[in-house]
Amino acid sequence: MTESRRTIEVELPDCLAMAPDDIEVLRTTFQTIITLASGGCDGPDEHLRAMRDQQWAVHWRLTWVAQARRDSQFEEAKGETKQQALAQLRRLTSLHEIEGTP
Amino acid sequence: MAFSTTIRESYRQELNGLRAAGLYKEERFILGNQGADIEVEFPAGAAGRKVINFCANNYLGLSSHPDVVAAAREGLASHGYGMSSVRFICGTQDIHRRLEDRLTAFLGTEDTILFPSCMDANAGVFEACLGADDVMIADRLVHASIVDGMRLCKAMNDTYKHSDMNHLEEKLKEHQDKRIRLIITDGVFSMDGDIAKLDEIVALAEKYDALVFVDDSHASGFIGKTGRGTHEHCGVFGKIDIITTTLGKGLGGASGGCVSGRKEIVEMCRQKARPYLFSNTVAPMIVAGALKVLDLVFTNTERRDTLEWNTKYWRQGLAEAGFDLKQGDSPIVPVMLYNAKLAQDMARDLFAEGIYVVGFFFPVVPQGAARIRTQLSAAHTRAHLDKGLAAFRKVGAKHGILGKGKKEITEMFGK
Repeated sequence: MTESRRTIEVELPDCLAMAPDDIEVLRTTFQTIITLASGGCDGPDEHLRAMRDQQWAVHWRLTWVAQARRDSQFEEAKGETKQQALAQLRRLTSLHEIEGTP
Repeated sequence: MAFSTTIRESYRQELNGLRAAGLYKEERFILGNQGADIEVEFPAGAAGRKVINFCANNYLGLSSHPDVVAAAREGLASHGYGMSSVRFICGTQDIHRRLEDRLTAFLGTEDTILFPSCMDANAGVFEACLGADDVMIADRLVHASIVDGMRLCKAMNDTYKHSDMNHLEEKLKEHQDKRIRLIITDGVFSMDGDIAKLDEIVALAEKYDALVFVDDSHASGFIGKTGRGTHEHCGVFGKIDIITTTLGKGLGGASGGCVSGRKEIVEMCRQKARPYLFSNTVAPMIVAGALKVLDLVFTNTERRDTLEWNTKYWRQGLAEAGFDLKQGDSPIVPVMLYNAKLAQDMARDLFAEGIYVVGFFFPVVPQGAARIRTQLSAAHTRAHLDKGLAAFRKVGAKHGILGKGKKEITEMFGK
């Protein structure tokens, strides 16, 4: 999403047959989510203000979070799409496969 | 928060879990200095037992070399015990800079920066030099400290199958959109003892505009004709962008490590690498000892040549006895046993025969690839090697594995 265009692009599976009405439902759903996620554009909250006071340029967006657990091991990855999140999670979990020798 | 009974119990359960899984690490006390002949107290409280050490990283036998010890003692007298500072405040002495210059000359790079350890060097270098627009592509068998360093870095991480150049090429193609592609490998792999295909890696790096990082901790001082490392062995001396290595193995065995390579990368580490910025300087006596080590390895290759001969003799002896070995040219010679219990039992039996080795099994090495990792030293004499080989033959015969390969051993003992 770019703020200037105020639009989002969403990848849909090739196998999915979408009627125009379906697309409109999706569009509305996403607009609702964005509105909720941005706090209704009510302006910066306390945490945001504190970070900006410390010269952080803060942005936020909805994203996919993928998590993997195995016993005490835990990894988490984020991505613009579910596939990106899972790909990054796979890369992170692959670092666990063997401990190695000193 | 109080250290409550519940919290204590949860730690105990986890520790018991490690014991149950056979992963609990117990220290063995060496009663004296490091060397080929050592006296070991194990288990704790037992009488000391004289054994031959085949599991140290003391490749050049310099850990207790009298010249190195004397140089360290002189350094202690002339430059003190500690610096009570990080390097950039008031922790840099003339000898620190001299050691960095000597390492630069030895490794054939542009500049070098010391770290408290190579673990710290690997933990700090990636974060200091790479950002979110970059990618690290590591061999899947790199050292744990590299994995930790990659985790601390914001660049994307990716891996390629161990020493699989086709897979590495695929990954380099996949990541052409990144600002910097950094290929990461060990020079000598600590688990298998094989040597990275640095000539092919450098060729791929040139083809796909990538940088090359090598951790040469298990190579510096003895791999290559003059012991400069894996890059010398593979004919790519001067072509590696980043080398990390340790003073804690072949080069004296005390502690300390470094990042050596392109001048700007070393400078970035000096400005941004957190283990360098926030950890004490390497102790003066260790620096003084390391300077002497470099004098010794610069002036002749006798120790390196002895190590090479010892390795060939040892490898040949084990092969002729019928052990299944990982192929390689380094002084790390893994005896493949495949079964975790067998590896532990054989290590215990060898200890009883006066041979100190350690069994490794999952998750330290891949599932079904349990082994005893033997490591050679220039300090080993022919008598040490012959005694070690005799013990291996005896213990191998006891367990009925001589002349047997993976299939037969796993049929006998399971994976």
